[in-house]
Amino acid sequence: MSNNNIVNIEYNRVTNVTSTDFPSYSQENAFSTIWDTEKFKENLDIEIKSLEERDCNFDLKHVDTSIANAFRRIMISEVPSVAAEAVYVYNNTSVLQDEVLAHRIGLVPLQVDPEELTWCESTAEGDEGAESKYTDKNTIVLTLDIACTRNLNAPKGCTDPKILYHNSSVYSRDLKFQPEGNQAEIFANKPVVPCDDDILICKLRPGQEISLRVHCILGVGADHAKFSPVSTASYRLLPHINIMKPFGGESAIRLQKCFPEGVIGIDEEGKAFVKDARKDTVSREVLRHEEFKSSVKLGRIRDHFIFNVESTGAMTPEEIFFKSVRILKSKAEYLKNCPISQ
Amino acid sequence: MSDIEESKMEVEETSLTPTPINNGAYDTNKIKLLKNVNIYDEINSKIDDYNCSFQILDEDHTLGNVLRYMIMKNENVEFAGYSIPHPSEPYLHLRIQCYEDSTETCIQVLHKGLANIMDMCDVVGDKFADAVNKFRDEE
Repeated sequence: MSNNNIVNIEYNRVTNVTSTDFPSYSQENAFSTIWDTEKFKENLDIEIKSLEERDCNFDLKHVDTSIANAFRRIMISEVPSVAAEAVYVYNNTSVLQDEVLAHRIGLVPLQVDPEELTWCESTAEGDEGAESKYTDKNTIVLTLDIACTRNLNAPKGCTDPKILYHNSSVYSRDLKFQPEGNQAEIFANKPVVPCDDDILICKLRPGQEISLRVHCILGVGADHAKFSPVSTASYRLLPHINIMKPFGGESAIRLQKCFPEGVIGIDEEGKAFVKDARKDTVSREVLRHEEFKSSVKLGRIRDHFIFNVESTGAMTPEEIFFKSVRILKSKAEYLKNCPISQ
Repeated sequence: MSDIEESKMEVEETSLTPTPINNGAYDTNKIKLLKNVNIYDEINSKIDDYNCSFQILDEDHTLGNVLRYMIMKNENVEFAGYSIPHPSEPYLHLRIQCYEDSTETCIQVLHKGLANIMDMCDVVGDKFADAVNKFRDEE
C-alpha cells in the first residue's frame, strides 16, 4: 500500500516528505541508489505540454527536487539578459523625478539577443572614467526625446488628454535605438525594441518634456530583477488522488464537487473515478467531509515536476531552460577545475 | 533544428558567465579545504582525507543542494551536507564524511559528484531538445 514515491497530504500535515534514495539510507538496496548516468538517462522523461512564444509548460519526471530546483533558480537569477543600467538625463520637466523615471525605464524588457553583447566589466564605482567601460561591444544605447504639446485641432469641449494633447503618455515604444559602431549591421534584421511597445513610462502635459539617453548592458537576475529573463519560472508536483472505496450515485456527485472541474469523472455506472489529477489544486476540501475523509487519500508525486516558464520576451522559454542547463554544467565544470587551496 | 541549435550552443557557452579577471586562469580562492580542528590537540590537528569540509566562494543553494544530493548518491559517503553560514557572505560550506573502508578520498568524491552533475546536465539538455522537437512535429 505504501508508495514511497508519493508525498502524503493529510488534513493538517504532510508526511513522507524526505527522499531516501541514497546508499547511506539503507544497506539493503544501497546498490540501486548509487548514481548511474545511464540509468538516469533511461528514467528521465520530459514532456512538453504547451509551448508558445512567451510561455512554456512541461513535465520533468524522475529527477530529484534539488535538480529541478537548481534549474528553476538559475532561470530566475542566473540566465543573462539585457536591461537599462545607466540613464543620462538631459532634461526632465515631467512630474516624475529623474531616479523614478530611470527605475521605470530599467524595468522595461528589451528585445535584444544577449548573445550579441559581451559582459561589461565593472570598474571601480564612481570613478571619473566610469563612462569608458561602455563600448559598442557591450552596450546598447537608447534615446528618449519627447515633448508634450497641445493639439490645436482638438474639438471644443473635449476632456480626453489623449485627444487634447500630443504625447500625453510616454510609452516604451518611444525609446529609440541609437546604433553605435557596427551595431547597425549586427542588428539590421533584428530591431532593438522593447518586448512590449505599450508599457506606460510616464505621463506628460503641455510644456513638459523628457530628453535622455539610456545605456543597456548584460546582467543577471541575481544582481537586479530587471535582468531576469523570466516573469515567472516555477514548478509544482503532480497531485495524486487515491479513491480507496467505490463511490456511486449521490455521493459520487458530492465527491466530484470537492474537486475543481474535470478532476473527478463519473462513469456509466455512476461510479466516481480520477479523471485528471493534474487539474487538482490540492485544496483538501475532500478531507473536510466525514464520508470521504477515511477513504480518499491525497498526495503529490515526489519526482514529477510540472514546470511553468514565462518569458519576458527577449528569449523563448525553451531557450531559457536550455541556458539554465548549460549554466549548471559550467558551474560544476568551473568548480571541478579550480585548484583546492588549504 | 539540432544543427542550428548546436552551432548556437558553441557561441553561447563562452558568454554565460562573466569572464574571470585573470582571464582564463582558474580562481585559486574559489574552493578551500578547511582544517578539521582536533579539540583535544589543536596544534597537531591535521587534514583527514576521508572527513573534509570545503568552503566554496560565490555559490549558493543552486549548486550546493545539487552537489549535496550527488555526493550522497556515492556509495562511499556516509554523510554529506551543506550550509550557508551567513546570508550576507558569499560562502558555501560543504561537509563530506566517507565510510572507514572508503575507496575514495573526499576530494575524489567531490570531483566525481561534479562530473556526475555535468553528465546529468548533458542528459537533461538532450532530452529537452528531443521533447521540443517532438512537440513541434506533433503540432
